[in-house]
Amino acid sequence: MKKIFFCLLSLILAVNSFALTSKEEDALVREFLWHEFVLLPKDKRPKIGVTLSAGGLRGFSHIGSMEVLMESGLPVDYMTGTSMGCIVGALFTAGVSQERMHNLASDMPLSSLSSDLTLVGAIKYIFNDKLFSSQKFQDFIDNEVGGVYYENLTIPFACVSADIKTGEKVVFDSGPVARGVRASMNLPGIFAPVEYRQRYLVDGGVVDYMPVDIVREMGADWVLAIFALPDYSRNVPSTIMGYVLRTADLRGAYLTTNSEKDANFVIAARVGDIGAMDVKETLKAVDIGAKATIKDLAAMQENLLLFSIDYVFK
Amino acid sequence: MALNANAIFGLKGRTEQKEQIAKARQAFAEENYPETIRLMKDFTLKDAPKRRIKRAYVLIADSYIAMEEYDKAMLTLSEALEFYPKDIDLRLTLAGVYYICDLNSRAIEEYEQVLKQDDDNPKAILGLAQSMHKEGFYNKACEYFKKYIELTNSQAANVYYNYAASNYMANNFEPALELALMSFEQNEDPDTKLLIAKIYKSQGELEKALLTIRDAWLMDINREDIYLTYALWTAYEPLHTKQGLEMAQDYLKKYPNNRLALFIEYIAYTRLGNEKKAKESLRKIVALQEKGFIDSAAAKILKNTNSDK
Repeated sequence: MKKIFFCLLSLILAVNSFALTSKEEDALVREFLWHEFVLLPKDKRPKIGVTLSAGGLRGFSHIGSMEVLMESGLPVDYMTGTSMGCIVGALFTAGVSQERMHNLASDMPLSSLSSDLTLVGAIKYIFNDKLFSSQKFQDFIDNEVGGVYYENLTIPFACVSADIKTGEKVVFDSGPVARGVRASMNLPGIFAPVEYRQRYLVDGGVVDYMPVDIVREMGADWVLAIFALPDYSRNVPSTIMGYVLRTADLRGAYLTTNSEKDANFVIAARVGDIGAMDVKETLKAVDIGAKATIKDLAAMQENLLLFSIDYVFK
Repeated sequence: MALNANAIFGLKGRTEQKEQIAKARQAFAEENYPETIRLMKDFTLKDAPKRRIKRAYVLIADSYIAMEEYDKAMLTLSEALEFYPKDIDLRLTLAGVYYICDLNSRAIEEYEQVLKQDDDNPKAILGLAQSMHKEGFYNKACEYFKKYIELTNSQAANVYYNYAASNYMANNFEPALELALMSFEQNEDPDTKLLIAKIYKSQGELEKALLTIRDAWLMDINREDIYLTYALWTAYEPLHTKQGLEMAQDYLKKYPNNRLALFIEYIAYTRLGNEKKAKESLRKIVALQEKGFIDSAAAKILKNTNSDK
């Protein structure tokens, strides 16, 4: 047994000598060009935008995705996000550490979303049609990002919400970050609309689940869209809230079809049947996001390099 | 009387079992793996003591591993683990087989399972470090390598090399360099030298990087991967472009249709301002009609230069 273990170990640790296969030749060039590309000054390369989809707590997968992308050296010039994508985007562009984001993914209690998530609140919700307030969540985010304004973020960032009165898309790219984040994740039917400048704002996923269009408007030449891709087929909702969330998901998937076409590259983190409010599975979602991004990383790099090839050789 | 007979037969059975295991071990030592498997296969079905059945499973699995029949080794080890779910050696071997077969997620699961039983198991920690690296979780790999070294005081060059490589991939260049140099001190090998060169390059120390990669290639001039990497780096750098061009052309004399060498030639000609020759190199790549990244890049550049005119 020991002999075989050490045979295995030596195979595992072996440093191979080999002539190059076509794939290895491609990898060598990709690695080289990628290295040169990430070193290019900002004004000597295309502007890169990253957009993060909505998806409830499943969207914690974006933390894993961003971690891998940063490790790869991808420069990010603009970012947008909707709902959970907005939360992760805001934390990321505000410079919150990966470690803190992991902690939030593992420890964030649902009670941080609203002070009404109590028995009394639930009774009011059911019998008085009184929606939950998301003010507490705004305070929570404000605390996490240190009260920062959009104008002061390290990377220009915008997030999307919807005016439930007019159906218009409302983009937040100025003022306190936490206010926009609250409006963007304000699930209709669960949280009361956020009143802001004569508007009644709900979750941006209603109108723009994955805001590729907004990041392009900000100035991105090449856009990477990251989608927390659910799998609806595994179960049928069994609660009112389950149906509300499923309806939002289905509509989101429909909206995403168009956004995907407008992006240059899409990374789909297959978060399966993790529920939109499934607090126990958030770390699993982070892991899925990281794995999906690692899997697509080489293809993503090649896509961006082909888009930017003239810049690399200038 | 019947009891005595059973006892005698049982004793005889046990002796036979021991003999059969000894024969199988002998066959394994003689690298006669099919015979080892044949001898041990029906043994697992016999009413033998548990420890002997485990030995039989181990011998079968080891034989399959030795024959590189990993699927069968996996099946054997999985079956054995159904009987001995807490056996750490079996689980480590299964994890190792998963790792070799690039089933890294499964390898990670098995190693983590071992750590649940023995949270300082060095083999599992090292296995996790390797698997995490292969999966692309470089920071996590670094954590496990660090833990392994702290736990075992290992100074194995291979461990330091892999730890350095994880740090390099995680953009932790300073510790990567330190570890790679330590690895090289113990084992002067071209891969470690290549890694050191890559780290220097990432740190922006180009001249040092070029000298180091040259040394790496000189350590084994048959290493085409190092040679072509060296050629690529030099071709791209204006002060060394001519050397890169010569290297690519030398290689092309031997392999005229090598896409990578043609691409290096293209880079060198572009750097030297010879647009016509650069285009020729690209056309040769496109004519090969392969479908990799180099080919797509060549086609794209060709298309862009044509549309510029």
